[in-house]
Amino acid sequence: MEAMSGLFTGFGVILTPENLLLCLAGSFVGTMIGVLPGIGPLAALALLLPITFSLPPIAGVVMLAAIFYGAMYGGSTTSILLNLPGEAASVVTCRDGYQMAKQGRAGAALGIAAIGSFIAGTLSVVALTFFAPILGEWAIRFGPPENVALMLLGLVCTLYMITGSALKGLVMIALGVLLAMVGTDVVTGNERFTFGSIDLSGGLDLLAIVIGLFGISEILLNVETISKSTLLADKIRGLFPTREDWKASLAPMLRGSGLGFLLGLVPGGGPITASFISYAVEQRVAKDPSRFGKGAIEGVAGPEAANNAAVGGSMIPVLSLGIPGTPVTALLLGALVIQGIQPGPLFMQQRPDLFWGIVASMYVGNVFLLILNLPLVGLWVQLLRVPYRVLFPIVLMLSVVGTYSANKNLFDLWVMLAFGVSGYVLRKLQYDLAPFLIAFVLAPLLEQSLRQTLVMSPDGIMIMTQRPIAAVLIAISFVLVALMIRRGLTTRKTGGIPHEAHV
Amino acid sequence: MIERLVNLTWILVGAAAATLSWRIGLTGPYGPDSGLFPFVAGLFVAAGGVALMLARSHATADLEWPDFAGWTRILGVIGALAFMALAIPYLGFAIASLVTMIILLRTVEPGSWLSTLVLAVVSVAATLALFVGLLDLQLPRGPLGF
Repeated sequence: MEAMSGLFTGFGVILTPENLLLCLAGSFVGTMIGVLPGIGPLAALALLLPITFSLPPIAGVVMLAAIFYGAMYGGSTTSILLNLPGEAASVVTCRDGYQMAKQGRAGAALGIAAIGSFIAGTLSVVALTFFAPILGEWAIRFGPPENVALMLLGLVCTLYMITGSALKGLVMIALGVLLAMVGTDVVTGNERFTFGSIDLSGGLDLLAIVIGLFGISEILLNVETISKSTLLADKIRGLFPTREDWKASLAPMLRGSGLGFLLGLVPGGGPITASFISYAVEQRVAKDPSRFGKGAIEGVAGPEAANNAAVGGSMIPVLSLGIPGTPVTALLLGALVIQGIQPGPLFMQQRPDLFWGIVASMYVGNVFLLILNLPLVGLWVQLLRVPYRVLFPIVLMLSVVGTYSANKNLFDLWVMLAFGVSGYVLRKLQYDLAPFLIAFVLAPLLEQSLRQTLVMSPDGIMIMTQRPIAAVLIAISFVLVALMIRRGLTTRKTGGIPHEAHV
Repeated sequence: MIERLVNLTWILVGAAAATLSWRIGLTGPYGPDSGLFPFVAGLFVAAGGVALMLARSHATADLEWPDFAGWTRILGVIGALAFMALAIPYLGFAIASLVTMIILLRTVEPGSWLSTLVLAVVSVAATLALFVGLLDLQLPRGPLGF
């Protein structure tokens, strides 16, 4: 019941001309980013973050969320028509989608991808609507000790989303905490690592770091090689699936939706893992698995549904608890912080308009995306003909103005450039950069909560064992760390978001 | 070679941060002082650097760096951005970004001079229209007043 009244509040917020327009603009830009190979959703969100600054918080976050799920929709177009993933979660769609296009069934592949994305996206938002308030009700009992335990759990969960070397991921987490400490300590007034610089006394700017680390480094990786591909888009017809297509795709879509939503909830799950696992599941349950890789429509329907459902699932931990499970949700969390909103367990209670506005915008956004991806598919095909050399300088220009506009400080441009070059080198050395971002956002909140906890506790840190919720969260953290140690600090080949597609 | 240099950087940065944090102070009358968190983080960074230096299994497999043309494009992008950060206070945003765009377009997959100039002017004008016109942002002006 609370969910329904909340949802009505959300629709009340979102159904204004301005917010609807921004949701549409976000969906459009997100689809465009998903369609274009080379700029993944994470880099795009980082680069476009500044545009949302001058907007009210609700409008800004709604637009960013729309860019995220729009990119998930659009990623399939490039996979199907070019055999290049527009974003990393669409890698698996290339296998059967491109084969379908080669067989003259590009329209059916694009249609089933869009409809599957719509069904999965809507189902996952329905689940988000009813699941998030339950978590939110539980989270209202949180005080500083529980927040400390929750932040620690968030950092521990980050260990599970590390892709590649776990040791390198650990260094990134520690570095994120360390760099978050630069600036003036607001409690004691002590300067930390400022070396007398006024520019550093306010700390390193989150936006400059995000744009540099994810946006500029992505562009540097992209300009390394300029590749050309064959566009199979001469005759796209028959976007609406036939009865046979529906029969073959409905069950994979539903399985993909459930799987994607559940994997979205888990830290390190997210759209990429969901799409790969969905493909494996469809191959396993198929009567004739040998059709996969040769144009099986189930190989498009399942993964596309899964990666879109994972978006709804991944929103739950970040909106209900303030814990991001994927790099993109970590960036959304950062966007909330930049907008002056304190993310965490009380977010839903303190800002129901914002919380439910975001949820309602996802319903509306899914409808926009269906319209954008079916009747307007020809537009996206034309976009694929625009050379990268035309697009990337414009993106760079936006990032420079955006970084400068946050504080009107040229020093931030140097921070952006330094993090861009560092990000490029670290990505070449296969460091996962997302844990850095999560640690950078969570560390100041953890430090503040720990101080509040110790001030209110006569027994020092032992208060953590005297409060049931905190004790359980700490115990879960210990178990997760123990499992991690038992597994060994080995290299992971799947899970998390390895690198955004840069092709 | 570069990987070893990066690992060495972690060791030096971590050790320096831990030392500086120690001087700030680790604990105060109400628990952690300003130095505690960065001290612990610094130790982790340094320890991670040591571990990465020693453990060969974490070294990057099949590491590929770009060829000469690739490096030219990368350095072109970095150089253009550095130029822009340096030039904005003297030339203003519009002129600095126009020159930056020309550098970028000539470095990465260069086309004709005419298309370069047209694209540079159009993209700078579009950026100004979006941020100054639509979002009402004040960008630094140069000696020519824009």
